[in-house]
Amino acid sequence: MQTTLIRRLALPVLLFGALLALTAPARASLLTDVQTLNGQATTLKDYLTATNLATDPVCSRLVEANRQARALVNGIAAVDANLAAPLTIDSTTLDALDQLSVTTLALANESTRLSLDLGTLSTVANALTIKDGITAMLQLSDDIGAMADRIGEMSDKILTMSDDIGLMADRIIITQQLQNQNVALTTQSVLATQTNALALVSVLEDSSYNVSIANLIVAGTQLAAEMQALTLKAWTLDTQMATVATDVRGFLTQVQALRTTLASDASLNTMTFTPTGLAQLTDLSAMLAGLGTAVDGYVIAIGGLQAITASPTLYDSLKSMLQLSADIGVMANRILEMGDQILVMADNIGMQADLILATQSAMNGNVAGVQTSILGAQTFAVSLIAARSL
Amino acid sequence: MRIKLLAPIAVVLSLFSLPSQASLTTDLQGLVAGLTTLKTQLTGINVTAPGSCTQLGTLNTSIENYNASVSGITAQLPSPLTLTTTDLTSLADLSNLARGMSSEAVRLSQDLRTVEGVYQAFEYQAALSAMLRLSDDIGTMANRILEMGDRILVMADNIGLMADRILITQQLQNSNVALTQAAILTTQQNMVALSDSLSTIAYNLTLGQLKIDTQALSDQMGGTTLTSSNMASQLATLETATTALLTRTVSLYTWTMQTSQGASHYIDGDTLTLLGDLSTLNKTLATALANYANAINTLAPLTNSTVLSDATASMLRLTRDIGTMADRIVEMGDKIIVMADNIGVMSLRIVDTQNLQQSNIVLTQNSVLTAQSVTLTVIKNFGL
Repeated sequence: MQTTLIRRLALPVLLFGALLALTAPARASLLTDVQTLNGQATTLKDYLTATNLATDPVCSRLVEANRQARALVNGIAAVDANLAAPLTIDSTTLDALDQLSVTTLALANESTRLSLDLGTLSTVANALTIKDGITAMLQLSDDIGAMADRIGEMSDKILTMSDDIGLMADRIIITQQLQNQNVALTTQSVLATQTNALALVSVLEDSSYNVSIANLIVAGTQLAAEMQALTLKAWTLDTQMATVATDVRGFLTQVQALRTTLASDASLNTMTFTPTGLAQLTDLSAMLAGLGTAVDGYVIAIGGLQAITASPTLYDSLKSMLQLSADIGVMANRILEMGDQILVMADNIGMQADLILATQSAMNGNVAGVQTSILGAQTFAVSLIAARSL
Repeated sequence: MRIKLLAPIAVVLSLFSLPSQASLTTDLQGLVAGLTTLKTQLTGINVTAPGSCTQLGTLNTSIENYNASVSGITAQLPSPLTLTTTDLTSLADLSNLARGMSSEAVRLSQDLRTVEGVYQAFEYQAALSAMLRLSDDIGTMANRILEMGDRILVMADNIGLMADRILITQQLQNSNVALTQAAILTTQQNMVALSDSLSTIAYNLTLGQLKIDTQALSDQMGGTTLTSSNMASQLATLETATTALLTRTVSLYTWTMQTSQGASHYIDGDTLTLLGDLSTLNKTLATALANYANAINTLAPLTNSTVLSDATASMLRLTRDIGTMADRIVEMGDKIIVMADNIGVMSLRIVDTQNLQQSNIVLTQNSVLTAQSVTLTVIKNFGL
């Protein structure tokens, strides 16, 4: 009788023990998971706290922060996806959830601090560094916002899967209130970070250079026409070539001035491309062809005149020829560099990709043509100096 | 007698010209050594390794400083100067090194193509910018070297003697610059080809449909009156509709997230308006939930435990789903602006939308919290 009673009691006890054994690991696992997530979040917070954008490399430091933040978001999503009903929650688990929410708020506050640091840095760092920094800050605030959302959603999910809500109701409400408050503050910090980052955006439209480029095209075309119209004479060859070399040098100064303005703007702004601006760049490089043609003409003309030209006159002419070739080469390079610089500054490359490629190809082709003319002129001048022992 | 007088003058002149010539030779050799170091640094960069953006950034700065040195030497060339074979060899070496570096830039741009989809969008964009800057700097360097060669030629006083050697150097430099420019163009083409842009208009149709559906759910919730007998069934019906809407919202969010990985976004104003409208509608849904929770609390003493248990369980799931939906709408906006192409033009509009979304999400979360708190109190008080 006693044995039967023990047997009767033993079965439910064993079953209860087995159930306890099955549910305990799940609960322990959730607690461990949340604690691990909090550990990761604390590591990221420490990393952000130790980040000083004034002294650390902006790009790699923020890339690493973004990687950690993304890993954390994925970690939270994985824990959330593995939650299975029924869950038994206790105060320790809720404490861990509270702590995770508090750490997330601290992360959001750190990202706001970094966005302010980036603002200070924008007065000294170049536009590309700031551009990377702005994108990184937006990405970081996106990740931290997502993190706060996922934690809130995980808590809501835990709530729907819990089997002891009634017993823990008061404690759960405290957690939910804390989370709600933290999410509101986190969202506020994320918004402040985004607003700070967006305030640093400084974009120029390429049309700002339309007038300057158009003026250069007009001046360059006029110079090429004058150079091509010049009839060289054996007895005035040196003075004629010196005048042309001076005119070319003057025009080079104008090209270099625009290049300097562009380089200075590039240090402070990014740029939005328009088809008109790109077409102007192509036209600017095409203008160089006229100068190249004029140089080719001089090679032919001086070649014809050299036999009847006095050595000192010829030598001075050839030196002028070398100088104007060098200057046209510098000019061609500066124009090509302007195209490259604008491409570096561009923030809408994707939108105009085909047009940009066409412009770059056309500019390269035009500059290569001029370089060939310059090499021809230099080869001619050097060979003639050697042949005439000048 | 005349020769005797000229001899000391020649010696004095040679003393003046020797240091400048020696200085040019030393300067050119220093430039060759410096460029060799830069090329070694470039060769050692692996764009797939962590921290490559810092390496590229540091190298870009070094190249810019190097270019300034070349320009400085060019600006201070003495006139006249006497060219030596060593100088011309240095010029040829510089030109070869610059060409070699442009080939390395092409290699890096090709490597970067292989990490597309592996990197986060931001890292990828930073690497693209750094590569474009690198090719710009290498192109400038090749130009400066060629220009220095040209300037040296203009100032040289022994062109006739060195003509053959000069022509070889000039031809080599010219062909190297052409090859360098071609390599830079290839790098730029690789980078530009990787830059994809998507107008957010692509999302507007789905966002518009979501807005219609959310409005319909809001109307449905507004038209639902809970009683002690129908609360479980009514909430179950609403739960089904909400889950379906959440699925569509998450699906659009996933699409946005995937496209943000591979393309930048050109933000359309209507997209921002729709995102703002949706967050306002979500706030209305959450307000309705808070009202339901209060209704359930009032009706609870008159309601059957099973019905009440089902209703409270539905309420908790509804708060979860509507909370998640509201979160996803805000996150969608965050994703889009991270990779925005026209951020400068739209920045004020973006900040306005973000402000609207922020105030809506706070109100939504407050209503969700109220609904949850009241529901939990009911569960506790009625031992459900």
